[in-house]
Amino acid sequence: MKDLQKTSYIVIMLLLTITVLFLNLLPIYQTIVNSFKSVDDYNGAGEYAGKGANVFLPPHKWTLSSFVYFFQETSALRAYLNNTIIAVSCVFLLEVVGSVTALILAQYKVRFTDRVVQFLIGGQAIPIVMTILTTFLITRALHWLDTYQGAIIALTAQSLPFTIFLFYSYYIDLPRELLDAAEVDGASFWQVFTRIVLPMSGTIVATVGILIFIFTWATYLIGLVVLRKEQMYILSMVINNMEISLRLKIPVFFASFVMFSLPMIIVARWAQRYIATGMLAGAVKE
Amino acid sequence: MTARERRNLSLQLFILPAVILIAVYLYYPIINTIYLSLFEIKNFNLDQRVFIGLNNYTKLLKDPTFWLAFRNTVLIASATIFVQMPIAFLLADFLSNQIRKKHPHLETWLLLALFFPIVLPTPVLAKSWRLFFVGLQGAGFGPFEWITLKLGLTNLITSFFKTKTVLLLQELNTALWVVIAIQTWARIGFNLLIYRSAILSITSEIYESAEMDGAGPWTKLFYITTPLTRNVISVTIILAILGVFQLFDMIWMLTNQCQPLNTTQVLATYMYTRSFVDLRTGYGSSIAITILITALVLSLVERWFFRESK
Repeated sequence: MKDLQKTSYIVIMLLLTITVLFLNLLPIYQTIVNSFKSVDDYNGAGEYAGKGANVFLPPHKWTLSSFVYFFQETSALRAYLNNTIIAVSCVFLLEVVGSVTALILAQYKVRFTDRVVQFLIGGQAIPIVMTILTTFLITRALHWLDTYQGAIIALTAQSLPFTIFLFYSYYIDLPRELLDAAEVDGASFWQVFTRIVLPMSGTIVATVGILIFIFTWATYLIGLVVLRKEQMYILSMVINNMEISLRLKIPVFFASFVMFSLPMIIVARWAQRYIATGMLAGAVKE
Repeated sequence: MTARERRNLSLQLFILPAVILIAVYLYYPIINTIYLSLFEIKNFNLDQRVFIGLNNYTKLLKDPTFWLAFRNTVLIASATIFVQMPIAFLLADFLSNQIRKKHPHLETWLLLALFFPIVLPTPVLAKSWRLFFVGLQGAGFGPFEWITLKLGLTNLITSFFKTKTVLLLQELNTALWVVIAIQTWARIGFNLLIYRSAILSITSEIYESAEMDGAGPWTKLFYITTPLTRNVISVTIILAILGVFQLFDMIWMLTNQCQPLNTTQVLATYMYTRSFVDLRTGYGSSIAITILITALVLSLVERWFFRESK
């Protein structure tokens, strides 16, 4: 009986693991193989005429021509700049606003602290998708359509509840005596913040930075609603539009996947443990 | 007023930016969307809005595409809860209770290979699968078509799914199922990470004493692991429900604006289509309110369910 259990367990688990691994590797395999192909190789045209379309096997000749095309002939470079400006600004704003707000709420007795905390962190329960209509109207009323600040402020607001929550649950455990001692010595709030609290917040600052970067780098809906001029497009929009603009140049499409994912893969690889911490914090918040 | 009170008063000013941002971009939209849903608004022309009461909602109840979108959302939510989460849970149990003990290095690499799709941007996942199934739209074939051709499976697949071609993502009766499968696959890694650390936090003495009593791996899974991680499971279900009701990027990009013929619409994409493509803001608002209400009700029901059975 026990042996049967063991065998069936191992068989089922191995099958599951292999299936999921296969499904995970398939899109990666096809992306890598096709992004290093020339367009002619993929289509079976030009010097590869007669060989048939090469859509799934490794390239006849590995080349970077699709990447070159991606940067020279599409609006990708501009989109890269837009993505970077938006992601970096959001990270910066959220770190500053999130940490200051959370520290005040966690450690200083201001009026209505509990209710303010509930109000701010409770914002996480609102489905962001349903706010998009009003976000468009607000942005239009502020004449912020097609501007960086239009996207940055909206994205910042959307991630603020989660950010405050992360900082708050960290700052609530700071020893009160430490802050008191500094105050007795005459340190102001800003001195306490920059000289005592910030140096102790390395992990949480990194976690917030990485999660927000990943979230804003891949964002799409805000771009669709707020950034409508082509020179303001972000990468996800450029990639979505390639289906029409690059009909016969599929390898370029795949090259764009590599370039779009690369910053996220680098960040994730470099900061794997922060990602796990952050996701868990988000998941076990209740 | 003491110096401390004066300082605390000035500190209150520093929390204002956060309060204003969250109030304007997250809470105000709720009130505003309820308000807008009572009007007929065309082309975002708010000055010419016409008050029509609850007409948008009565229209919504008679709108077949809305019910289709609603059904699809529920289907994706069910697939998430009944397929994606069990898979993630089983994998997490396998990794942390079996492999980790014998081959810790292997476990690290397996974990990485199993969860990495969640660190890739959703647009990349969506478009990569789209290209796999569709290839060059109208101008050649994609890898899936190529593989079925090489393996001689074309007839088998078309007769099994009762479709004209093997372009399953573009066929009326299979598109939705492909979408559900891909969405279910895409988030396995997220739940795997969460379940894994929940399982790792169970003390090993419990497992050891169960083993002494002769418990096999399934027994341990059902009688120790599952009950002890029930809170985490409950939270992941709430997160999944809230997530599915906001699902937009994946569906929109995978099916190129919910083609064919709106068969793959979900609530969020339908809301966007109505308000930003058809430019009927009032009607779109009423869909947005449906999203809000359903998500709230479902997570309340879920919370009540898990509380009752404790």
